[in-house]
Amino acid sequence: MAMLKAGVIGCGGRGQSQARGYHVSPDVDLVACADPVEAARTAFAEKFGVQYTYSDYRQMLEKEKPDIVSVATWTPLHKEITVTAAHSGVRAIHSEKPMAPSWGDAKQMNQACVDNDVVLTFSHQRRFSAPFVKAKQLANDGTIGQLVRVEGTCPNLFDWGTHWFDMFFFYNNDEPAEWIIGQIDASEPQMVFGVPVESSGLSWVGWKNGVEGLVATGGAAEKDISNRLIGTDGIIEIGRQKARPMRVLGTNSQGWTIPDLSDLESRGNETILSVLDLIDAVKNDREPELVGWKALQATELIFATYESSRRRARINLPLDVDDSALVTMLESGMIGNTPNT
Amino acid sequence: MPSQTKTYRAALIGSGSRGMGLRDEANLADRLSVVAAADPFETRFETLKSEGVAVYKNFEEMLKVESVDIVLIATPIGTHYDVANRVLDFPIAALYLEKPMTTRLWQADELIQKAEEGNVRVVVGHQLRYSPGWADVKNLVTEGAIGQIEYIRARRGWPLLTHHTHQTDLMRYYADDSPAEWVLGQIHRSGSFLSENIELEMQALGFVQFENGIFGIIEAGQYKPPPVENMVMLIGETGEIRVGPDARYRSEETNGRWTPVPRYEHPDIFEDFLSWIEGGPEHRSSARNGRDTLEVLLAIYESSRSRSRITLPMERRGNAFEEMRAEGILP
Repeated sequence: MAMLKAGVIGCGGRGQSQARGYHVSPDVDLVACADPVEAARTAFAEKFGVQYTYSDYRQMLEKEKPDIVSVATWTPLHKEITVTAAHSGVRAIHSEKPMAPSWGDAKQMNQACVDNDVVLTFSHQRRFSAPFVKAKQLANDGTIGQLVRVEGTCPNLFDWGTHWFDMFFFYNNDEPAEWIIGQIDASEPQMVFGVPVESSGLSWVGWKNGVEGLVATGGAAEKDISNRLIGTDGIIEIGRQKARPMRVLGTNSQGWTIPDLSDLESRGNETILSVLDLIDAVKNDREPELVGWKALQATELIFATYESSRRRARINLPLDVDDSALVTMLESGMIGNTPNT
Repeated sequence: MPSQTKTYRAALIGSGSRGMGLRDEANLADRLSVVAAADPFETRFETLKSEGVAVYKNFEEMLKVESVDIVLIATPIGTHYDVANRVLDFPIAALYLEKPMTTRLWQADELIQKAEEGNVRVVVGHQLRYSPGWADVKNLVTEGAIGQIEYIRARRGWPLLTHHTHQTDLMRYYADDSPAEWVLGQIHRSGSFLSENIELEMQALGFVQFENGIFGIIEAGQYKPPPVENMVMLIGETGEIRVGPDARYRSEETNGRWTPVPRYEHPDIFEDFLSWIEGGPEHRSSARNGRDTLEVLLAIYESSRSRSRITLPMERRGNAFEEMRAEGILP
């Protein structure tokens, strides 16, 4: 099989992380990169031995005709770049998360890829990260009885919460969610990669199979915990980085135990594994783990939480509005520093 | 010096099923007997009369005629404030008011102030602080069985004010009644939903940050086919406790094995009430605690209304749920 040609759009930190995946793959030539900032693309090209650099990603698509492109720009640019790339003849696109600033944009970028038979994936790379993979195994092998609840805490629903919603689907075997009720406090909104996020958030999700989930963000986030999985008979906790190790209180455990992750950790870096999985999926014409429809499930829960705040109600899925209620409410002064009540 | 032989006469207002249950509980205390009852609908009057209880249609009439020390109020929730407010005009020593204390925060504050001025001890009917199982958990936590409590989740398949008030109150009890600093919450209502004769939400969610660092999650409502479990879960540094249909815990101390929460001695709720009246320690379910529990619940409504987190003590001391209904914001 001929080598696949890859190009990276956005030469910052995340673009470089993704490039490492192409770099180590024996099936890919990383041929080009694009970034309007010359210093960024030059440094990137030097680091990865990339031959062609572009200030305009459209030129890169046109001239290099890559098979795979990475989109590692700020969030508001994801849709335009992805849709353009999908129409340019690429076979696959790997985009950074979160998908897009609005639910409508997220759906459109996925649809453009479906319509053009392009494989689209998103950087929900925790599906390849050791503690999360171990947690899924333990949640499904009876170690904590039957999984009934998943919890996550992080700074905000959009930029980080997208990972936790994705992890909830991962633990729950990508079963469909049914409803969501939540609240956001945007009295001190922050900007993350060009998109406003709440200062505290709360989101309670129900799945059709009966599992429930809770994400608490910002001021409501727990200090040392990332994810907690609760079963009929036990608990799995994934701590924040080194502050607290992963631990399990299971059916047969003698108190809290720390699971052995060495096998999983030896597989390598999760972002590299994500890119390699996409490459393998393209080669073998199969669905990659981080496929667009899975990212859409997680993304829908973000915007549905915002919508729950706007409507002051539970939102039964599918979500039936395309905007971001958070952005719309901020722009109209309904919430924010000086809300008109 | 308190007289341990003094006997107390009590009068019941509202002789429905809850009122009768309350009367039975009160009569269990040796030095307390319910001697009179009032109910505008003459509910169970024949039974009461046959047991020697004087009956009245009008409670103020009753309190003018009967000399009682304690009044028990078990009327519909929407009448709690008005009835209690009028009862406090009479020279009584103590008042037992069913939960929730009132439906608006200013009403609770006003009753507390009026009771303090009249030196009346007021208890709100959050009796689970004295019930086996629920109350035992507090002892176990205090003994450090699961280490420092980090998180308490309380869940009930009914609305906040009518039912979850018990679970929220227990959450506060387990968290040492630490003041709540702020609340974030949401409710759902898609049409009329009557519970105990008041219109309420069908689903509710709340986050409560307590001053001592513990935080709580409140989940309420009939959002899936009943029965939605009625439970409180506590997660501590070294283990967990789950209390609902049964009370069990597991920790490093139990080698990770589920162990029934041991049974502890608890005072009788009414004996403890008499002790408080006679200068003993504050009752576990004092009006102060009933009021603080109500404030947490009302803060969830206020968070839904204002789409923001609510700092306690609340500035707006009404009931945002009622306000949103009146304004047509909620159906």
